[in-house]
Amino acid sequence: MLHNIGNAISLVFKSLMNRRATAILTVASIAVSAGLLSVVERVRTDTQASFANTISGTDLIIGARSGDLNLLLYSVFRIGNPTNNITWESYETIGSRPEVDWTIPFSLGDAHRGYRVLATDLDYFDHYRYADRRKLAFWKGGPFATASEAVIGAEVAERLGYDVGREIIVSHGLTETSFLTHDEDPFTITGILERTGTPVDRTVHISLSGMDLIHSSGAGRVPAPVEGYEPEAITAFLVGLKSKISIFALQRYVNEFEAEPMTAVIPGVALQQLWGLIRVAEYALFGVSAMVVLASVLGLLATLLVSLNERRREMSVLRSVGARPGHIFALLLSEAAMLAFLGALSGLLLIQLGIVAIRQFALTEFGIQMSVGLRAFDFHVLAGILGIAVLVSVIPAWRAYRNSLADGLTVRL
Amino acid sequence: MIRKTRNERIATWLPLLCALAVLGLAPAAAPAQHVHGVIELGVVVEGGTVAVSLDAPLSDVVGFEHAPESDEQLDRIRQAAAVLGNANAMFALADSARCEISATSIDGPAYLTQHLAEEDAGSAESHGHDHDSHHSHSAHDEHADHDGHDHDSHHGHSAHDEHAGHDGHDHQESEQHAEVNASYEWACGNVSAVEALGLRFAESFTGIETIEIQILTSAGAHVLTADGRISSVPLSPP
Repeated sequence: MLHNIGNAISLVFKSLMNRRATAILTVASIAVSAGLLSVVERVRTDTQASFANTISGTDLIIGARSGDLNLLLYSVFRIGNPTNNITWESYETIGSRPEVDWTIPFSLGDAHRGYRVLATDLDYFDHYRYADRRKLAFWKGGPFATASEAVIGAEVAERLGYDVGREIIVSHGLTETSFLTHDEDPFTITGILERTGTPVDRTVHISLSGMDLIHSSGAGRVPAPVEGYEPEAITAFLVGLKSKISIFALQRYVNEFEAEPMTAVIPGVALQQLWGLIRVAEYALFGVSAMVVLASVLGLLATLLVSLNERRREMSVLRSVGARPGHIFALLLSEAAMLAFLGALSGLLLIQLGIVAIRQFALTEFGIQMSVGLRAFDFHVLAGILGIAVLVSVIPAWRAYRNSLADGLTVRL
Repeated sequence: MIRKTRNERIATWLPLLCALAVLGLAPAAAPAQHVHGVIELGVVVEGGTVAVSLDAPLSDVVGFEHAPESDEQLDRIRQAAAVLGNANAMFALADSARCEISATSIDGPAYLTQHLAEEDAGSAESHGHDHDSHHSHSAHDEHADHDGHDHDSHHGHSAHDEHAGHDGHDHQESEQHAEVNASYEWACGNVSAVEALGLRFAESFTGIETIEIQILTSAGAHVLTADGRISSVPLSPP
């Protein structure tokens, strides 16, 4: 009777349907654990990819002396705050070295309605690269041409409903409700950048002269031109080299710069250090998720063991219609496999729905791009759970096998 | 009242990340650091060129960080200079890559680099012979002009040099740091065959416990921390 697989599966399925409440709960617990494991891994890889995609083609980031990660995070990811400024002279000295191809000055520290303001020069739009060396592109309008013009990122435009031509106020400081709001210095939006999926989307860009305009006080201020403007200090700058060969030499030169203490970091290296630091946390999360998977499989084992006694009758019936003890063994194994498979598969499919639901939120709030679709890791999860389930279900299967042998030999009332 | 920016929400979402960043717990914080037992190796592969940059505390190379004060110490300085000045004694690249050393530059305290110049001029064979005579002579010199004005014979003005060429009147051994910065460049006929960088200096430089390696290739950047005795560094990302 168990000659073909179709029959066997239908038998297992019918048997499970007879105990559907426990079966569904078991499937659900496995689904949750599989989903959790998959989500933890997915968030890790997507976060790393999103961070790695934020900066491309920049060889060194140079700022005032601080930790490598601090410099990387505040300059590129706009997380945390700069430690200090560096002088324009230092910027020019390093920028004019023969191995340097281009530089982009950054001045940070102000905000517009919670979005950080980045003061830079026009080289930013020419040389800044993200993802796979992609250049910033304008969705609307063009770069700022005067000190009182601004270019906004895609998310700023979308969230605040801004369009080209709109006037905005930049406040001194990073909070939305700053006391020092300079009503007299509105910036006109001249351009909106295309969406990049990076912190650029959440940035208001102004010129260096615009930044000084906000910070200078009193009447009689004359807006300086954008081109060729030289502020006294900037926060940091990005450097592109003609050849990467000189990268470590320039890094050493900057780190030992005499005029003022500075730090130069290689973005890719600093990111690797960052992942190295949070790897412990990742391992912990991963370990916890793996334990949850184990717990759910143990739950499956417990359910199967408990069910054995109440299913003696079922087994006896099967035996009476010709099933051999080996069939009983296989029945239990396939039952466990089916529960595990259904659980893991539904867990993995459910998180896809979850990702669709939170994808926009993750992108706009955290700048993390999550993609739908099963990945190689998900199949490992599926296979792993299936394997462990089959392995542990050998115990109830063996007991059922022994029971069926004994039940066949002794007559009970 | 105070609304956080979106970016700051990233920070709250990854508190560990941010906390660690603010604490500045940056391992391998570029050549600015000076940790005994730790040397830093930077490797760049671009076009047909392989460039290696090495930063090491002098104590890891010769066992001390001051001008040689005994014959034995001078010996070690000279040996270190001989190894540092010879790219083939420092590193190995696959033969099939057909790499030729195209540039070598060693930066460090003058009492080290002056021997380097000798090594460059009079190569290996003369080394053994005039060793003894020069040895004592030079050690004497070192002691004589220990006030360190012309110590900085090399181009770079590194902070470490200033330390090394200290006036000497109040220096304490523990506060004195000297560093060696060496860089090498190879031009390779078949750069794709360069899959690893062989390290040969472990036998000569005894103090190295850890090597922190930064590798930049067309495949991107990656960092490794290795035991000081490893003999080869794979250049492709793990």
